[in-house]
Amino acid sequence: MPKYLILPKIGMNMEEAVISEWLVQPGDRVEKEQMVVRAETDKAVQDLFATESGIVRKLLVKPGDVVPCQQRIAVLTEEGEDCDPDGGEEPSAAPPPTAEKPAAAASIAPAPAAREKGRIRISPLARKMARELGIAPEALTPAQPGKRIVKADVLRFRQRPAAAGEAGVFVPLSRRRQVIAKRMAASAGEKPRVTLSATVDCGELIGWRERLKQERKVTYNELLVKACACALGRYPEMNCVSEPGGHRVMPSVNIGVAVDTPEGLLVPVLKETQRKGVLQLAEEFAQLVEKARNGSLTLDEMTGGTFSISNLGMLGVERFDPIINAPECLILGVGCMKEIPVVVDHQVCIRTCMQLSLAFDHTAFDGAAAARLLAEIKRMLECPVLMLS
Amino acid sequence: MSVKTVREALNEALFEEMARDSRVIVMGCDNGVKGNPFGVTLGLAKEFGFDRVIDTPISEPAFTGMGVGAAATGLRPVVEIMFCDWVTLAMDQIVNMAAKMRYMFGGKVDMPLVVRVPIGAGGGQAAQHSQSLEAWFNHVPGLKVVAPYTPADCKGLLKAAIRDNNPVIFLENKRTYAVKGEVPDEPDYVVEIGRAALARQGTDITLVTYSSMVRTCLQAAEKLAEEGVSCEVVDLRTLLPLDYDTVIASVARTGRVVVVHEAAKRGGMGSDIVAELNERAFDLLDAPPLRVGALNIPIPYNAALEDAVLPGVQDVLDAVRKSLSNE
Repeated sequence: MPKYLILPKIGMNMEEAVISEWLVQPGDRVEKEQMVVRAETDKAVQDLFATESGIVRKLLVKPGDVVPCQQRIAVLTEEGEDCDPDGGEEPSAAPPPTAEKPAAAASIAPAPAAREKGRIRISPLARKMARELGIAPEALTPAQPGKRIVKADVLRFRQRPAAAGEAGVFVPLSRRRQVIAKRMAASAGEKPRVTLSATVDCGELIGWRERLKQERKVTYNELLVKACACALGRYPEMNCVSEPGGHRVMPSVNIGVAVDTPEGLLVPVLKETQRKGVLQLAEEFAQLVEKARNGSLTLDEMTGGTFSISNLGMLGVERFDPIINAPECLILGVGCMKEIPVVVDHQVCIRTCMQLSLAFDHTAFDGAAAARLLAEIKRMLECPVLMLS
Repeated sequence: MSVKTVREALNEALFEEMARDSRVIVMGCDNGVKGNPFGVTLGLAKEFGFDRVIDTPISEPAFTGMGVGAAATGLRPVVEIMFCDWVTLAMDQIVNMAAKMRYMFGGKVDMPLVVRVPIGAGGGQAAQHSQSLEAWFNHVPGLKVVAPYTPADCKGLLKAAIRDNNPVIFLENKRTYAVKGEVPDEPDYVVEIGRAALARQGTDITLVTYSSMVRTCLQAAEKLAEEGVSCEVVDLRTLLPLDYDTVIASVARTGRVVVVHEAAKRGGMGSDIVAELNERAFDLLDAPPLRVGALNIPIPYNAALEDAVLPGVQDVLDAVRKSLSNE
């Protein structure tokens, strides 16, 4: 009896993957759990393991295919067993009925030119550049009909907005943007969201950071992570992720911090923040940011979060209303620090303040609980020594 | 610096190395009394005597074998095969003896042998006096192969070849002996084996070439510049080991490449270089790498036919335009 390798689901949010490369070939013996295929999942390129042992008879998907989780990707047999010819004929393009058809870039743009029997005539260099720039090869056209698409055509495509006519320029969604769009739309549509705001006096926080900087480079992000971890420690029932029909309270406070990269938004996750000091968080976060920028974050480093922070303060944003990073139930939007007039003891004085916006999922808890959490975060930030308590 | 021809530069290299090291000897047909048919060994016998400049009988296997034996036992011979076509006769000595001895004897034998091999067609010398057979040597592990073009490189590489403790096939194109250029005067001037040079810088396409075809490519590049096409010309200088770092760096700048040589196109150096670029630089290529070489037929005696068989400026222009056409 032939057996099948299926595409394993290795992350909570993983629904499909784009096959990058097979690590085994027909005829190879594979053992269960051995890495067999490299694929671009949610947000990272990952090696995925075999779900069965046996001898690879036929690969059912090829590099470039978008494959839903749990779909068959290869046929296996035992030694000496013939491959059932019908067993491997399931066309890779037809996902099982349960899977939703991915919005592949190919269906977005009409095939303009340079196609030969479904294949795009494009030079290796142009293909590589297009991939790096997040341009779907299907969106490119050669300078003259029937010619190969080359580097110059990719550059021309990039420069088009400046020279575009009234019709404008259609830019197809890159894979990264497709994932972001899908998840944001799903969260905004499914989660009844309320955002609470508060203003934080940052005087003590600034002083604390100056002191810490004598030890190593520390950014406000790590201080915010620590403050949120401490506040969630007071309300552990709020450290949760939603699941169908309820939510699951998690033991570790894992905090994701939104990072801007050339290819778009990434949210690396700092794990077990409740156990870690600010200096350790700073060191780990610096490594995660570096990996996010050069595209080497693993799936594990981007999943498992229970709380997210999105800080747009460095770009001068005063306050904003963030969308929750599902399945999490809380996200903190952080605005810029700014000197403002404040009334203290019936006197107007100037203080450096920032605004926090805590968006929460009303399915999981009510406004009062979220308000108490936000107040606790504010208290920690205004008096950092409390984080030791 | 002084301006010299390739012939003078080669002659000077031999003079300097023979004066510098008494183990250096020269041998080949007509090398002594006559100074070889092209004048490359002119004056050596008068200066260094007939013990060190040996006029050999017309037997390539015999005198190449003498060279191998002399090299294995402590001399540094420079053997001349007057026309590349006849190296067939000496192939056993080169392929099985010179290239292999160091390996067969566990590294205990040095093989400081230089085999000078004039290559190239032109002037109606017909099929047995016109060939460029460098691809054969490229296929033989254990050899080094150099094929310089400029007088300075000819001098510097011949000196480096003589000082090298491994067998070096030194290819000089007969049609370039009169090419003139600046040559450094320092007695210790040598050019490192294994390094290519940029003969011309450009941004649109890379022409990878060596020996006489450097001239052809530079002429083609000049014409293409008038059309607004900027060619980079890589003069390989050494064919084995080949300087792929320089070639790939150039392809990274231009995305397009044409390999040009005088030898027959089929199975030539170009085939090997293109295959290597496909393996090592596929993602840098904006067009299929192309080859320019002689037609795959014996070189004709008739001047018009010979001209039609050999690659020229027009063939390079055609290949460059084909590459740029994105067809």
